[in-house]
Amino acid sequence: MMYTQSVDKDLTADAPDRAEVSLGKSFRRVNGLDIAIGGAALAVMTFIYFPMLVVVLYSFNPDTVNSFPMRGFSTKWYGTMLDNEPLLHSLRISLVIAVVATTLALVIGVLAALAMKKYEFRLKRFFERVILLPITLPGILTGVAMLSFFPLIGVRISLTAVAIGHTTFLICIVLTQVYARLKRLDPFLEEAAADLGATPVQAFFKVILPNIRTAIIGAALLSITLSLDEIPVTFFLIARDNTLPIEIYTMLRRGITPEVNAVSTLIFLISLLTLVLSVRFGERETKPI
Amino acid sequence: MKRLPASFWLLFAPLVLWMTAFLILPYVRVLTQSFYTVDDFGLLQPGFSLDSYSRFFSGPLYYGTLWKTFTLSATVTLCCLLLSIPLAYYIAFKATRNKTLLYTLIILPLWVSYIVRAYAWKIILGEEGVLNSLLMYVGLTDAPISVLLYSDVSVVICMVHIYTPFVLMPIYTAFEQIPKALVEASKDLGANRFTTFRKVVFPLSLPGIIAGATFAFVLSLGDFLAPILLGGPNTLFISNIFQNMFGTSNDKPLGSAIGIILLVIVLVVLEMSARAEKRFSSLESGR
Amino acid sequence: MTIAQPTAVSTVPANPPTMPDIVELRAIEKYFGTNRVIPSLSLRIRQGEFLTLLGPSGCGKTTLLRIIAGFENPTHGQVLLDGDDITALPPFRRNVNTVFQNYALFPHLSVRENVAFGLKQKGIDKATVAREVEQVLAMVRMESFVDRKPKELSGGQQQRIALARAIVNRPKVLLLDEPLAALDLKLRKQMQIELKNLHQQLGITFVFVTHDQEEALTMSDRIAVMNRGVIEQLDAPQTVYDHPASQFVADFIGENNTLSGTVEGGQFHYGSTRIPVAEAPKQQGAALLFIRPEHVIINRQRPADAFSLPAQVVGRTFLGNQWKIHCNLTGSDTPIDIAVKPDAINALDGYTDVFLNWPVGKATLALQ
Repeated sequence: MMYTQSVDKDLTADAPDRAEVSLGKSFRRVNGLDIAIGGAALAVMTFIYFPMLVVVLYSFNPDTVNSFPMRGFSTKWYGTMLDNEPLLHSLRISLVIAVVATTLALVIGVLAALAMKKYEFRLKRFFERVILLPITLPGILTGVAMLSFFPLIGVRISLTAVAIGHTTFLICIVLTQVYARLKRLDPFLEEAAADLGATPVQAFFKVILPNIRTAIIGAALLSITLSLDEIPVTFFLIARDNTLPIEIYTMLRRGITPEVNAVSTLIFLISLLTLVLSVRFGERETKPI
Repeated sequence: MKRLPASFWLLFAPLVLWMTAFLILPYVRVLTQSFYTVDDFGLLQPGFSLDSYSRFFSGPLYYGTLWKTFTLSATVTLCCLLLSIPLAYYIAFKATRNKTLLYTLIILPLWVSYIVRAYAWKIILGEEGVLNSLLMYVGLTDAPISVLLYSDVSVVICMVHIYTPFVLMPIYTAFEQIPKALVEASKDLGANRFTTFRKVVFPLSLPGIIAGATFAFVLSLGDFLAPILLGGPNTLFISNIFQNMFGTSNDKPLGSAIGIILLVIVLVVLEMSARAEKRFSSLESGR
Repeated sequence: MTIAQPTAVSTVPANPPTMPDIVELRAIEKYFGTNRVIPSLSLRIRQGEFLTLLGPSGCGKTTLLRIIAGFENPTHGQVLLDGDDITALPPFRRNVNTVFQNYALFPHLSVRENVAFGLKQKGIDKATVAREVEQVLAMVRMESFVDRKPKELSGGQQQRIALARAIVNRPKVLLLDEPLAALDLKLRKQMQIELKNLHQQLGITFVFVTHDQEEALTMSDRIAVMNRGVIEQLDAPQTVYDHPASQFVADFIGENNTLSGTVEGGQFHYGSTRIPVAEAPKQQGAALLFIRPEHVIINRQRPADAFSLPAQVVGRTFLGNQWKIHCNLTGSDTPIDIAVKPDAINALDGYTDVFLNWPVGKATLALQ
């Protein structure tokens, strides 16, 4: 639910409304209420961004203690980070799991989305709600449930289990995103392709896929990000090798190590990049060129 | 009802099989396990016993923690709403330029790692942290304030920070969907802006507000990391007890019973919220 | 609404009935679930004709079109294309093409790629495809838009591309599903003429679905008027208008007055009035008489030499090119509308009790 909305660019495509707003504005005089609302908005924005700014700033702090004011500027923690072999190892593991889980989720999710778009079945409405549960239910419940069951079917608590766990909720992300796009697609495109001599498989690759491509890329980016950040499910399914967030978590439990600032800054930048990419992909299809 | 063709199952079967094997059956396992018992050696004894449930409801530690979890989650939810409504209102109704940028800014934190954001509060609120040293630097205090970190307060602050974007999004969407003509009509009929908000904007955006509040509440209920990372010795959420039962305490039946209780609560909250959203939605929604 | 005068270019079918049938539908029956939308329908479509399936929404006309295209399978019955049974063939193996109601242009492909799609599917070499695409785009006067994407075109332009995309494949039958419905009135009129011209140029059979009776009358060689999955009448436009075969056809196309009476001795009996009809039926029994408003004559005095029905004038409505006089027949209060030219309206001032009749050949009798 929440993730579907987060990349639904329909919300921002509101150009016609904007004209009305600005029209209304010209009749308005600035008064106390306006200033209060503006001030409150600014305060909330600050609250949201202040912690992240602190982390970025203090990643260049030469000190071990994160105190105010900073005593100088240094990139030494980035160096420390690069020497931290367990940390780099966990990053590699996280990347492998993210790629594997996202790939599996894309295959299963896109196929299921096509099935739901193409066929009517009795429990469809019910299913549209149920499919959101894996992302709405607390991750800790899902994690423990998997921990209790996986060994019974021979899936050992391991990175395999983690990949399966991630795939399970990523499928829902892919399914909801791609299904939403398919529902907006002209329902007659497939028939038009068939009418012009394309078999169902050809119609999918030549007509449907190019039109849902951006939704698939968006879902993939979101899936990779979520997988890289996931803790609750991973927490219970991990054995020896840690994923990146779990590794950071263990570092934090041991005490504050300033190189976490450096890692966090990098993660923050990567998140920013993926979001920008996904916004790009989202906008291209809603905006007439 | 006509039978679905083979091509449907070809597409849909992977999903059904995957979800059954790796999601539904695990939850079923938790349910059955909640009726098991453990022997003196800590080994699971299959059977049908309501022992775990009766232990939950007779142990003040358990239901007391559940109650505390409720109150803390409700506090988080309320704070999230108080922060989200003015900002969403500003972006939806006041901001004329850079609307897309502002919207992107409020959803960006959703893409930023949970652990990074929780960690940020640790370095801000710690005894030698940014906030304390700042206060001492400007001379507001002489000694660091120690209650900031490792207390209920720090957990609540962190959760509010992490879940506010989840609340902002549906509220902003709800505000955006209100036809601007309605707001103008209200003013045209002599309502001032406060009355317009109370009588037009608020009721029309109620479904979005309910959806946002539900996100914050459900997510807080299931959060076990913020209490571990930022909580004090007494900051215990039900999910922490739940987690312990599968770790150090090694009481899987009791843990499973807690899990089922938590699951039922979450499902009830989601269902109630879905109904409330439906009841209070007066605008034709797009979906 | 203005009254629909038959304005078809020719009232004689462009192709005489001796032409072979290109499509034959045999006892088509179609259920959606338990809902029977087409009871049992047979239809022969002639080679090269412009056939319109006309009817209100839900009458089964689009379903019928989709059965020919292969998007729907008939529950029972057969579809023959040029003599071959294609009932079991999927749409991508049928040599027919469709112009969709909302065009269904592929949004990710340029105009050129859209039009080339069908030819490429057939594996035709690139040079030929390029030439054919160019030709057909010239035909619909869209040659300067080849590199645009569909969303950069207006509705009318998209319409032409949809048309080009279908006809470039030289289908045996071109199916058009309300292709003009999304256009505004002026553009619609223009496209009607262009479609008709295109039909004559190409010599391809057109099967056109519409709920717009005026469109049907303007363009078709033959019209099949459908109601509840049944073809109530299949005739040339002029025949359908002048001699509706049923109450439904009479009411659906143009405006109509209906009298309910009996047939006895070769005449229509309405109460005590005996109304002569053109072709005296042999049968007896209950019958309906249809008469168009423009054919009814208003007399101040009871005509001595002909039948007449006494009536009261109850109102009048101005419609621009004509006035509509509303009357009730004396005794039964059956409403009758009469169309009168604007310059003749003054002569009717002060009339209340009048006598109505019409030229014998203008009324159509339908036995019940």
